[in-house]
Amino acid sequence: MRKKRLYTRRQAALRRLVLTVIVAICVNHVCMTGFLIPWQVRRLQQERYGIQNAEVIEKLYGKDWSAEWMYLMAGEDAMLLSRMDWFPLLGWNSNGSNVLDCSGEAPFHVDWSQVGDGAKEIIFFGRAEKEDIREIEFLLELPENAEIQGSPAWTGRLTADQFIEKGGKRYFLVRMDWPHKVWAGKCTMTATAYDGSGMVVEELELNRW
Amino acid sequence: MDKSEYIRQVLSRLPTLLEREKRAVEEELAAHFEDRMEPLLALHVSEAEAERRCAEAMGDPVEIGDALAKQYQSFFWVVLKDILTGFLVFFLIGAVIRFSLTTDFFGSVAARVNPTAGDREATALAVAVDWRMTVGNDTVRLYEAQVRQGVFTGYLCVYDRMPGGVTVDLKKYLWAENQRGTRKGVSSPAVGWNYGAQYYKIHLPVDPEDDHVTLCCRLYGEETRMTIPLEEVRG
Repeated sequence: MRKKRLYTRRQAALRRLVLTVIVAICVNHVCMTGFLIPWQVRRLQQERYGIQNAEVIEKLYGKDWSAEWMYLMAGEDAMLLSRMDWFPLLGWNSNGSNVLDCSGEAPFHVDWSQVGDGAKEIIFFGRAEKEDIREIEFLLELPENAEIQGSPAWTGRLTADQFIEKGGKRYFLVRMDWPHKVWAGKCTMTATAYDGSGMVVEELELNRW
Repeated sequence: MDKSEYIRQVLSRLPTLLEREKRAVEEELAAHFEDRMEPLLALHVSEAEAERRCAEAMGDPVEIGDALAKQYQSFFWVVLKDILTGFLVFFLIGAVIRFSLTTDFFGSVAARVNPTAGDREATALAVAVDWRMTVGNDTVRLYEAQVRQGVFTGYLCVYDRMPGGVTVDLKKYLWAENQRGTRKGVSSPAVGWNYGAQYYKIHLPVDPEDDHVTLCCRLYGEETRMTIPLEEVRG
């Protein structure tokens, strides 16, 4: 009769540990799923958008466990807003990302994303390159034929005290309530930066989706 | 003492064992008995006598039971193994649900060993070449090219430097330029797109006296250029 080796509890647990680690590496790398920690999704997103070794600047956690988590990451010349959520059978999943090229000479760089159930929140993120920027105003104008109640124009404001200073640079990540709860991709969006005296430093038209 | 009595006495010294562990110990001891009994039975010793002799040879069951009990004292390892089993099931379920994503992995491998397999658009007239440049963590590889009727056509693939890694979609960032500065961006051929490998093609007008074109990539302010000699690929 062929003898089966009798493992002690410790040996059996260590064998299972080795097997689990091997399977985890294969599933993570080959199927790109089964991520147990948000760091793995962040790394994947960095690879996907070519922003290696980006530093996490700020996190926005969802209001409940099932909601999206967002990480704002920045490299030297690009920023990445990575969105992810937890799904019990699959672990942490990427919900898409927004990449912002900051390599130009603009006084500030900004992009946006719309999140939340029912599209009720808009996220603005970016970097103020010029020192004298003290305030940024966002203006969203829905098309005239949009089926909404109230004014089709909406403004949001971000002041210098909301900037996040890291590594000598000033970043921002703000979540604003969007009253119309409709897809904002067709809005005309502008971001205007002001200095301390209220003078316009720069006005940018934001990407539409 | 027969086999079953011997095993019973050993197990009586192991009260903290789980049922599955008891079964494993029982099987192990039974296997030892059978191994030792086999030559005796071949010598026509009766089964009962063979069991008795084996029990004697294996030693005091109480001592063996006590020695085994020392190996099975801590429940920490039992709990750890059960937790790890849970993780294992979690990973395997994920692998089944996301099995389709293995195309990314195999796409990445195919792009480095046989890119023409992933690109159905490359023509039979194109010349196989192998020019590569590095953009961040990715490799941009020109694997087929041709010059016909004053147009340079190049077939490119992009893959991560790590097999199975994901790539950046460089479509917006890649272009080729001729010696007079004319630029043309890349387009994506109609192949299965995936994160493991990207395929592009490029058409650029060239003059008969041109001896090279330049492939360029500008990603987040960093520019990479590669000179492609035309001598090899002229039709």
